[in-house]
Amino acid sequence: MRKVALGDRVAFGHLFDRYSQLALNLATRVLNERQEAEDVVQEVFLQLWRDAASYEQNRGNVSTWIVAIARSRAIDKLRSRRSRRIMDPVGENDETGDLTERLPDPAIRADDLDNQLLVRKAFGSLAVDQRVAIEMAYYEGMSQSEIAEALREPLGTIKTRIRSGLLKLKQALSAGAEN
Amino acid sequence: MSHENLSELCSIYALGALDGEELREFEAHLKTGCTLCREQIWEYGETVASIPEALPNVSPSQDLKRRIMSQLEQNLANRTVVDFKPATDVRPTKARGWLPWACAVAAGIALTVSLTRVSSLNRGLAEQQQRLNQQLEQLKDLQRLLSDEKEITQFLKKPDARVTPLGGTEKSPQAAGKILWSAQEKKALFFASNLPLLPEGKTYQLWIIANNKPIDAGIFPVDPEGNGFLKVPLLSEADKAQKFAVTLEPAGGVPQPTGDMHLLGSL
Repeated sequence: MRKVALGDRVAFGHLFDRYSQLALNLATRVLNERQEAEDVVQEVFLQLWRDAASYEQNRGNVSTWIVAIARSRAIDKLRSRRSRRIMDPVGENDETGDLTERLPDPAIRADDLDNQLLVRKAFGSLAVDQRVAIEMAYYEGMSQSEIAEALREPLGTIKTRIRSGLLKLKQALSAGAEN
Repeated sequence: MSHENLSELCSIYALGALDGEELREFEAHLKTGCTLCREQIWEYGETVASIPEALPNVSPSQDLKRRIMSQLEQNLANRTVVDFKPATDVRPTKARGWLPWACAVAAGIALTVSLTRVSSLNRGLAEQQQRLNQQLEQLKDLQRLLSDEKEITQFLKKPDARVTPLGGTEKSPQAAGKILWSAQEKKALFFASNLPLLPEGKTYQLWIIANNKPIDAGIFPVDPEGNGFLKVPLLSEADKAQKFAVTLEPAGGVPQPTGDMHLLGSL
């Protein structure tokens, strides 16, 4: 990052090669649309190029920083798209489909996660309802109350699912890192 | 709200899902400087940041990197330049003789030196941490590669292990594939190369053809070079296998093949 802060394009290229796939996977999962997801990746890396110097002072993990920006920008676009859909309910902007279509399919997710990397295994070890609540918050940008309303569950139930799911994920990642 | 109740909200806050009165109360609590809660938020923040690593890879457009690199020059002028300087102005607002002035200057110099040193140390630590994180990531990649290699070697040692090559069809004449499989254990490892990049909303799906009927063996993405990999933990009807094939199907896969065939291999 220091080299990037000094304007080293080669170092920037290495950073892009290292982290762009993660940012693209995340943005695609949130937006479910390739071109918009690539726009997000472009915005994230241009921001990284512009703000590399300030990043150095405050952050320890570049991956965490890139993921946070990519998620924030992708969710902003998702919300903007949703508001456009409210303004234009039968227009051409309806590209995300019904919310229920975007919920994670536990069977497909379980297959994808099987025999994969540590994180995939850890995430796959969560109960389906924990995963759904966490993914709705993380990928859809929904708050605990919005999730409770969408799933028609008590708020306390959703909070418990998120808390217990994240605790289990944290413990599984720690245990995996130690092995 | 008691501290115990507040600290239970750390994970939900780190996920960004806390809202309403609880969010206001929690943020007010954080402003009191509670280090316990801050540590928990940091820890859960790392956990939350790892969530997208569970996602399958999406193939980027081939010119994405070129587009971004070409924009760097335009953005060069807007880059942030950061100076290190004390956060507070230590000069006295009104001079009352030389002693207070000298004390203020001395304090200012001491503070500047301290802050500069702390900033330098912080930057050094951050760089070390970053290097360590990068090395850990590389180590993880290597461990994964080693694990894959071991698995392939173990697979090849099985007495009934077979390797069946798959050739590209007219849809992908340049593509190729190989499947290592064991009819006895009903397991398989599949490798593909030079497949076309996946269109939006599509996936590749592997089929085993047994008794002249296709049976789903799993879906897989491809990387930007068109390489794909799939582990098949339960290869149904493996003892009756006649052929293996790969088709292009809607994302998530289908129970029966509907799309174009890209790879085919017969026993």
